[in-house]
Amino acid sequence: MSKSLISVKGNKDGLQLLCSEIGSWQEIIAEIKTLLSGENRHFFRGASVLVDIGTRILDAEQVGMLWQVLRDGGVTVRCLQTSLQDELTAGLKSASGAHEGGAHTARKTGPKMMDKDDPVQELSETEYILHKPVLVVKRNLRSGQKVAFDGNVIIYGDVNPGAEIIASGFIMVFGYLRGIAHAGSSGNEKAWVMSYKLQPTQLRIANSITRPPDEEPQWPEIAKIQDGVIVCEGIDLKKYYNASGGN
Amino acid sequence: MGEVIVITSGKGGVGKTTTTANISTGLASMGKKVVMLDTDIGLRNLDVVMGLENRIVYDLVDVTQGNCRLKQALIKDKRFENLCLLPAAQTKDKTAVQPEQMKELCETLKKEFDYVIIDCPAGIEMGFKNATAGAERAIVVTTPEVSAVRDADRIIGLLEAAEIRNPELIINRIRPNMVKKGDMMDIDDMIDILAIDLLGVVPEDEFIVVSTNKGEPAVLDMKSVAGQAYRNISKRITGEDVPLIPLDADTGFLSKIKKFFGIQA
Repeated sequence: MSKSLISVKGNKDGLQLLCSEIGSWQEIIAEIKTLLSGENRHFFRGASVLVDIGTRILDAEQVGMLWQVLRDGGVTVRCLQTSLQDELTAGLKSASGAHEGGAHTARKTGPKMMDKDDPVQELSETEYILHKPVLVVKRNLRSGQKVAFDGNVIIYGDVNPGAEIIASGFIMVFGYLRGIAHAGSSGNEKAWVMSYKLQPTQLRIANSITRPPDEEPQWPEIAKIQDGVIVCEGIDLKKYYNASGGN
Repeated sequence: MGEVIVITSGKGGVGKTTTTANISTGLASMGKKVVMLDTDIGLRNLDVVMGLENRIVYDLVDVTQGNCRLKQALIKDKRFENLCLLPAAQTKDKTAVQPEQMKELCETLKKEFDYVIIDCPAGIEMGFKNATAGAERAIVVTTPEVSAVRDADRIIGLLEAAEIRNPELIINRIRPNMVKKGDMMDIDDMIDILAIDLLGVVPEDEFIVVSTNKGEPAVLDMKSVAGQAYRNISKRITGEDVPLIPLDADTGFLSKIKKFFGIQA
């Protein structure tokens, strides 16, 4: 009965915490707390886990609670996984508009993966990938749906017009990106956006905003900031095609 | 035990009510027991399209508030014994009914009928929530316009969040000639964005205007192309495998000759 809300699984990638669909978020948090402070607490200490929140809708505060309880238990979050919800605002409180920037709120509720004193230090690209949690969304994002996350976001599916992704790290879309994407929302100019077909309504990286060219891209593209402007370029595949003489 | 199907679209004016009337009549003509549920409280239309306006005594709100028994509010169709309509109230608004009440109502209705077809109002507010509360299957209607497709996409997202999985798509009012010229979105473009199963395509047909004004669903007219499309859709709902009607129904003698000589029409 007491173990019904959370199940712990392990595979080659590490530990997974699966949150049940029933029970309130408060109950889930309480359950995690007892789990991490119980007789198994030494087992969890220092672990890095994937948290699967199922189809729940969480606001920044609820995600903050999760970060807090896991940090208290000495656990770091490797990845937050979700299967279905209308809106997910994780860690970033208000990150609409590139100029506002969710930097401060994000730092407050977001996980501090690296125990450094200076929280505003700029992470390098690899550090970002290694030290920021990743949100994995395995579905299509439809019009009106929004994902905001303090970390990196990977979408397995399409992002349709009217949908929005905001991430403090990078954004990767394995599908069409037709909505709005904002990478490096807390001001990180090293962030980038990658997509199988990069056709966003609008693209924002850190404090720059751009609208992509109208023609349909021929290959997967990556957008990043070069000399203060957002540039889109084909990735590997393009080089491959050019090298082999095709187009 | 019957099935509860909601017909929805997000955007207004794409043909939800016409689709509800035609599908329900189509199913009834196949011998199924069908009830139509109009949830567009305050802006009821389904009764007019069905030509049953003058028979309304009690409505949906009367039923949920217990002013009458469910049986008293159900209006029998004039053409089919096995087709009923539960009309919406015209003098109240969407808040007069709660989602829980709708759920209960659908549970009761599906014991009696093979199909409960719910006509959903436009928008994503209370009316939409009421209409989808008791539904287990959804049909999304869209027209080949960017705005309608955008709204359909939003609706599909909301349906999925409400745990109504695998909604099906009806593309309404398509004009084959415009699609051919490249002036209108084609079916593949829409399927590409919406990524759901296609239930049917209804071509633009002037007869629909005549039939809705007369209160005689087009599905009963054997000459109407839209009617034919709705007959096929009704069959597909029951699980029958019916191929799509080819859109360019240009099978005249001249075009056959042109085809023979390889001339593009």
